[in-house]
Amino acid sequence: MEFFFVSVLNGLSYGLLLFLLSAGLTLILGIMGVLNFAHASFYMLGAYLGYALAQYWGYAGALVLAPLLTGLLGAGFEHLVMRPLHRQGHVAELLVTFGLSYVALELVQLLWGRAPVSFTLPQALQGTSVWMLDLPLSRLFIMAVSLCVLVALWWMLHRTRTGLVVQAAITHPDMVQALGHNVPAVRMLVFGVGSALAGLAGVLAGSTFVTEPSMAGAMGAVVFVVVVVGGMGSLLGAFIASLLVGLLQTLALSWDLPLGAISSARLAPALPFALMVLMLIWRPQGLLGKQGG
Amino acid sequence: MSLLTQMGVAALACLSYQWLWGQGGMLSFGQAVYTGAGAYLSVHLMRMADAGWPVPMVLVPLLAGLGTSFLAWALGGISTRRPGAALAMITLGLGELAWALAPVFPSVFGGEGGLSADRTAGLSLGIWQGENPLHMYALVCVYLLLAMWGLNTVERSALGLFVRAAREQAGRLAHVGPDPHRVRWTAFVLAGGIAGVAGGLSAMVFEIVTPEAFNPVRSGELLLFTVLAGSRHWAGALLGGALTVLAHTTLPQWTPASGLYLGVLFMVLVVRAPQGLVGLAVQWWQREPGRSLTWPKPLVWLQAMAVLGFWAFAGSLVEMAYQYQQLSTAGSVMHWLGLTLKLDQPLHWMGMTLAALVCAGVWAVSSTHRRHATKEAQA
Amino acid sequence: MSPCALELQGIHHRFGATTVLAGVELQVREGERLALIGPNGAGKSTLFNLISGEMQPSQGRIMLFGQSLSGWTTAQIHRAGLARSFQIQRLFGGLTVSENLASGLLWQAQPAYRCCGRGEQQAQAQAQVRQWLERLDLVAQAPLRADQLNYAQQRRLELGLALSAARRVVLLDEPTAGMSRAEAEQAVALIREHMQGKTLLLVEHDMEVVFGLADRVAVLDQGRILACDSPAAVRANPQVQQAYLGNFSFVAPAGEADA
Repeated sequence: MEFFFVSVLNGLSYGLLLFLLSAGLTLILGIMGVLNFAHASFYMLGAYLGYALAQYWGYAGALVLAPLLTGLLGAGFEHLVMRPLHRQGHVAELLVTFGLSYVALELVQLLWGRAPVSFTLPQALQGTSVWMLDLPLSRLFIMAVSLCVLVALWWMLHRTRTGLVVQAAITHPDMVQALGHNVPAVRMLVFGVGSALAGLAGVLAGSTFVTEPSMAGAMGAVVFVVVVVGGMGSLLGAFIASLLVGLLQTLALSWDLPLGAISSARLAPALPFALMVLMLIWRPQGLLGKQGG
Repeated sequence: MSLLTQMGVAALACLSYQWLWGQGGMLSFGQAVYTGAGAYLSVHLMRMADAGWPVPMVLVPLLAGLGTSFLAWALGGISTRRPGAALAMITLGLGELAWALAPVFPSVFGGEGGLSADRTAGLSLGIWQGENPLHMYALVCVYLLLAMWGLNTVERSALGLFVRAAREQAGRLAHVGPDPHRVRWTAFVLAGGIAGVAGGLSAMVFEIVTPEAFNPVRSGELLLFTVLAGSRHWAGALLGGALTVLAHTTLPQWTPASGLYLGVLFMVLVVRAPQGLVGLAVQWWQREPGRSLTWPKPLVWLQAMAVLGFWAFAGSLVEMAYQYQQLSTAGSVMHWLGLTLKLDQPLHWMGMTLAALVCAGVWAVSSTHRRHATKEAQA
Repeated sequence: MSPCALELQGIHHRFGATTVLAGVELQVREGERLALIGPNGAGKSTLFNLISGEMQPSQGRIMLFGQSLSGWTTAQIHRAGLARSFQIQRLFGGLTVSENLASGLLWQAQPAYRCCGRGEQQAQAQAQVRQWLERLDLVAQAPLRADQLNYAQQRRLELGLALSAARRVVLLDEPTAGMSRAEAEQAVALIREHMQGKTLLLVEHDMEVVFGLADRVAVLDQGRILACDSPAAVRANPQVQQAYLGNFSFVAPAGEADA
């Protein structure tokens, strides 16, 4: 029974991490119309920056500073590289983010090597809680931080003026610009916030799981699955899809059910993608996406 | 010889991507599914030949390609339903799915060690000598030329026009007749088939295939080198193939930063010259003959030198960083462009950084100056 | 009475919380030329998008030759006999002008995805392309890319793409926008020549074009049809005049007294 709760907790915390990532991607996709292939690279950068910063400012410092730094890098990239490309169309922007993902990987390998680095949680967050059940503190911490950040994000989008401008700019950028708002600045803000969210997810995941160069590739594809399954452009869809994928993958891995000659654990890496294919056949616009596309 | 053979195979893969992306406007991030499938089909065919079946070796890549086009047909429906970002993500997801599933079925995919085969087996039909590398090279050339001729024919046909129209304005195509989804699907099947032929040939060249063939990194590299080389002209496929092989064999021997340089070059090209290297060359070749070759003004010389200097010094910093990583093995002395740099002397690091910054400054100032000068000239 | 080519029954359409079309009923007889006028934002382009299959109506049915179009894709609607032009032209920018026209004409010569070479189909289509280039006065521009044309040339090509599709029902969305008077007259002549016996639904702001082409005029205001009658009757309609006082200049064609 306890095993069940721990597995579910693991699945939920992983799902929330996925949502931190996919929320940023959905916002960026919504406001720029461009798929950010480098999103997972910011995730990786967040983890590595967290590792580097934690050595000077401790874990708490890393948790705050690394996402901030990642967000600034993202905003800078949007301003310097993507803005001049805007008139060349979405495809050029997509290709340049793909290039960035490649370059970021090489840079990380240059600076920190190809082997995993030991970025660990502080003592206080390791181990398990004694309240009710033996639930791993790290996962609880991830869930707590994710939920706080996401509530803050929701509040910003729906209750502040900037958030309303962002929502409007996602659907009607020209109108919003005609009304006097600075749409390029909004784009930079959204890209920065999205990257910061990715960086935060990176710090959390890097310290809990592993920090290595291949983490970008592994996570990146799953985030795209979440966005496709949830419906491109829908935050609520991304939320549901993230939890779904998180639970599915974690439970398949930990329960290790035998399916014929193959165990579910071995199939676990393939499950999110199989889910995506099924969703595409059954409902191409995703759970909450707009039809027609 | 073997290098040229590999380049030919890579060029064939690039050709299929050129068709898919250059003509069809479909940015697929999962073509490794089809090159991998072709490779596995080819290996299985060769193993059957070894077991006694009458399989003509020269036709193995063709059969692999046909099988792969069937797979592309099966997967193409959902892949091509909506163009653009959706297609990119779906093909990425399918590529990852194949990559994740391959290790699960060792009977088909051979587990981590993969499957090996022997290209000397099977029917030779009197012309095939598997042991002779020249024959392998000739086979690759034949298939490459056939693919080029075939794609050229399709490009000139009605379907070719529909494919290009679907790339330009899919929303309008349905209003003039053809269904853009069907058009994209057909183009996708063709591209998958040719990718399968390329995969089949690569399996014959190396005589082994492992699940690594489905690694999404390969899909990414195919995209990178095809876009880098140029996606409109057939010479781009050749250059792309050559670069792919060089990037894996020769370039890393020159500098450990080859991957970084390629990535940066890719980004620069996407921003400045989306037509690729071959496209740039074609543009230069076709420039207006009226422009006389006068000596450029001193400011242009200064800017050119500043640009070169910046890249040289930035490159030196990169190289120093790479070697610094391996201080224990490679030692602390580095030779670069005639300079002897000591990695343990902070002064050398600062010197290079300063030089790079100075060059960057000169570059910025001179280019601003030139922009003002042209604006004044136009006014 | 000739059968109904196009019929709109109870069309409602909403974008989120905003209702754009609130109960549009319209019948266009075969061979008729109907002009749809109304101020900007009345919902004319939305209506066109619903008819041509870009969107599905929130409520209501669209019938083409008696067949309901609900759930049909754009390609299917085209096969059933409907073509359209766009207010903001959607040309195949990277293709040449000839190729733009050829894309539709090749399909008409043979509706198949042929991948092998030249043949009668291509020769026939090329001959038709040349004819259309002459009609559209774009012969000199034939080898140019469509996005290299100037605005008026692009509008002509846009019109040509819709007319050359040889469909029984044609929707034209502001075909003469941005054209000079002479160019507009040429366009009207071309439309009249090619729409003989075919059904035309036209959105226009240029009243001279409307009076020159239309058999009937429908007025769309705030998502509803205000009036649908002969051009003279619509002009005299007090409801229409009240709604558009000053919005349109009802310039009387030469020789007719104003009401």
